[in-house]
Amino acid sequence: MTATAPETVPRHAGDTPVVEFTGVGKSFGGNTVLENVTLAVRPGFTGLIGPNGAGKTTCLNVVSGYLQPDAGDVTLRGESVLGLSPARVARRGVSRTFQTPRLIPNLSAVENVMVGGSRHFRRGHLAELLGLPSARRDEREQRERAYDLLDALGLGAHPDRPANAFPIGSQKIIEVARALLNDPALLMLDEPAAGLGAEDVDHLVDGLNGWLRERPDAAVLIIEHDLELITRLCPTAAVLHFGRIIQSGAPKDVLRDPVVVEAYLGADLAAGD
Amino acid sequence: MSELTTQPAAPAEAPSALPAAVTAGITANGAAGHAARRGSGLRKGIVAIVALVLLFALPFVSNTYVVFVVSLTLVYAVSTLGFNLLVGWSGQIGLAHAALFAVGAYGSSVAVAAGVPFLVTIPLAGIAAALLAVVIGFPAIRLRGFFLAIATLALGMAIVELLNFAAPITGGGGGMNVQVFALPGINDAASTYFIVLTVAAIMFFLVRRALVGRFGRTLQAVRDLGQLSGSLGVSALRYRLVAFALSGFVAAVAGTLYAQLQTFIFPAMFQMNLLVPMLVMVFVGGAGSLWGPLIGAAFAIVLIEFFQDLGDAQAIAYGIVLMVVIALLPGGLTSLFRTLGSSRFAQRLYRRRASTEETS
Amino acid sequence: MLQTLVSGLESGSWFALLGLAIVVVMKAADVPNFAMADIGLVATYVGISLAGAGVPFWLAVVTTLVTGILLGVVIDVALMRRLAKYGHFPLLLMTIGLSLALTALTGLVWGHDPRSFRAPWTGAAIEVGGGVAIGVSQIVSIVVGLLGAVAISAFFTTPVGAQMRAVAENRATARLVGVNAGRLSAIAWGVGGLIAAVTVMLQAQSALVSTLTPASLIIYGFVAATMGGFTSLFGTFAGGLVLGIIQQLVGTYISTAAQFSVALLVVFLVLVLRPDGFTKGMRLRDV
Repeated sequence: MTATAPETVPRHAGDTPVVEFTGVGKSFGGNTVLENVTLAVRPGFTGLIGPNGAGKTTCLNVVSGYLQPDAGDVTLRGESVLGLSPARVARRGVSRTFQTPRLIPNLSAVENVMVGGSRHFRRGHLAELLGLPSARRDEREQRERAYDLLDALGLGAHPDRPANAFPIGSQKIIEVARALLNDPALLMLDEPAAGLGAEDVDHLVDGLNGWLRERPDAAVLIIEHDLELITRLCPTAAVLHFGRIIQSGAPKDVLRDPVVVEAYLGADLAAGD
Repeated sequence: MSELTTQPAAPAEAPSALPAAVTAGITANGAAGHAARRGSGLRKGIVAIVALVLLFALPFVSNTYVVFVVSLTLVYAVSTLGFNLLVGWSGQIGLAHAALFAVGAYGSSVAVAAGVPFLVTIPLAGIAAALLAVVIGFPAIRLRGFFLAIATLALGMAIVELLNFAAPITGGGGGMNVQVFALPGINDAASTYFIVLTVAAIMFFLVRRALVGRFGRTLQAVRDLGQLSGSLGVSALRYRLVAFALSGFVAAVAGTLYAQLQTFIFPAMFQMNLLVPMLVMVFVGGAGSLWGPLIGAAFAIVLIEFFQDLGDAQAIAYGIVLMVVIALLPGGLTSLFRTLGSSRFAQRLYRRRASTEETS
Repeated sequence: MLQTLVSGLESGSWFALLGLAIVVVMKAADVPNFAMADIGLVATYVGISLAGAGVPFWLAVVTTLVTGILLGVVIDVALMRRLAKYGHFPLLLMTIGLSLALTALTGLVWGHDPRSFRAPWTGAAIEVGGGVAIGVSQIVSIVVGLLGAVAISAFFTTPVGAQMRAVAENRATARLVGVNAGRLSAIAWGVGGLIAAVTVMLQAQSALVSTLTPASLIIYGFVAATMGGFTSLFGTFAGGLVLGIIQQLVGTYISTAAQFSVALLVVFLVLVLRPDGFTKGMRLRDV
């Protein structure tokens, strides 16, 4: 098996959207989960909020290739990603994390992070097996980058400890580091702050900000229930309710919008809070 | 002891030139390891060299029975290396391993009978079995858990059945004699032993190198994350298939050596009565461990040899020992070491490493 | 032809019953039990010994059934349960080790000579015209097989059976709603042991059984279970019968040596073409 070269995507500067949803619809056996979702995710942070079951994670799954929408299109820097396998989408520069962290429990934190960089290995497994210097250099470079990323996200203290020895919050941060090693054009975080302490959240925010400073043309799409974090990070946020985008704009304005307030209150009442 | 006195000096040195190269590779590999593990990698390399040198001296200080048993252990260890790659590292309980082992044994023996030099048949049989494993794996990789186990079990059994039907080539159920390849100037047992040892060292070296790096990490990602590994840019199905091919290759290489060692092979050797010990070796060695296959093979061989003359009692003893081991150590024999390690020793180690990191 | 069909249905009933035993344990305990046929053999040998010692036939039968149940429950409680949290591999291997030990133990206690369980009707036959005779024991196998399948289906409509279906569908949720998974798995193993005892006993009243029987019987049971996708009772039962008939046809018209290979081919085709069993999608109420 030989390594596939990273599928590079032409970079546009400025404010062109990294990812665009146009009229995306998806239903499961009669239940409409997404309906006519149109959303442009531009470089920098974008929040995706809404009550439970609004279809936020479904949006992520549509972009990353686990679900194919029934209607509409999703483009990454102008090219449709529909019909691509999750692996191919990832190789085009889309990284994500999961609601519950999915790490390899007995590998060390740094090795878990290294798993995320597969498209940046220039040499194939055969070169690795033969111990060619170029393959070793690949391995060494990725390891250094993984150490740096863990450091930047505040987990530099015990990078060689097995992943399952970390608390859940730290495991989520390891997952973010793994996603970043892919050097993504689009990073999608599914509730990154859930289960994190205030200090961990600060590390995460600093790390992400630092990374975005180096990659100004990259976009970060965050699903989060912690609206304070969304307000703090994202210049824009979109609200998803029953599969529709009901509002988008600056988080402060969006959260004051009566329709949004009602959606949240209604959902809370329905949930019995 | 007779080999010691009858051996001329020259051939004794000839084979020892080979392991030097092999072990040099192991040390080089160890030294190339990342900084945190450099010390232990070097130590492991030295241990490997010393062990190999001791193993190469074996025929000169011991009788043919011991040489045979050690050879058999090494053959099983190689086979388990491949089985462990599939079961432990890629997480697929594929049960066609005994059949792929048989493909190696028969492939090599038939090719040798047709005039192909034995040493050439080792990689050839391996490649043939790897292709066959891909054919088996192609439908199987989409099946989960026990379904995969049963599909591959059925296919493996069918392959062994085919050996019965292909009587004109394989001798059918009656079996076939194997032409034993001998290095010039040494007796057969010692010669086979040297070949087994050399091939085993190469296979261990290669598989170890494949698993400690990116390939091994990716396999584990596929095992633990399943389809979600797609988000890491990894095609789970492709890696599962590659694991099938590699394990088939290693199984067949072990099979070629097995045929040389047994000198007579018949299809019934490769049925459940072989698959079960193979599973035991993987299990005892610890699914997913690196040096476990050697321990697993040694355990199974000791068990087989120890209970050899007991008849029915042997099978009972085998079954019961197996049950006891599983009940007491559900993670395999090597997990015992790990448990012991994590209790006191490893914690002290961690503390020491943490303190050196803080000071540096 | 009729004789072939009846023989096929007879052995098919054995395969079907053993397949059902495997599926029942699979549903409740998530274990593919490679020792199932061995449990049946041990139970049957106990019955044969009792009958040989002068115990009345029906009492020997009941003892056989009870032995099967007890063996199943004891194995679950003593060996299997604590392994569940370590994943599939130790469970699979444990049943294989158990199968080895039980077969060898049977050989040690009762020897390796083939035996039969003589029933009052053994050897009797019914003339059906055209010079064709059908053994009563064959009819017993087919009828008991059918009754057994109906009884197991009925079992899954009882409250306990319904809980088992819930566990099979979603282990985590079943635990949340307060299903006692341990009790259920013991019941499933008991039922499995019972069916296995019936299976081997049926074979022993019609033909000979020996320590070689479990090795082939278990494979055919797995073939039947595979045809039902390891979940469908109807699919497993029908699969067992179809397999029996195919086997008999292959044995009669091709070669008995090819029977085993054909069974393996069936497994492979089912798993590749219909990995969920060939009755999937027929929406029967037994799943």
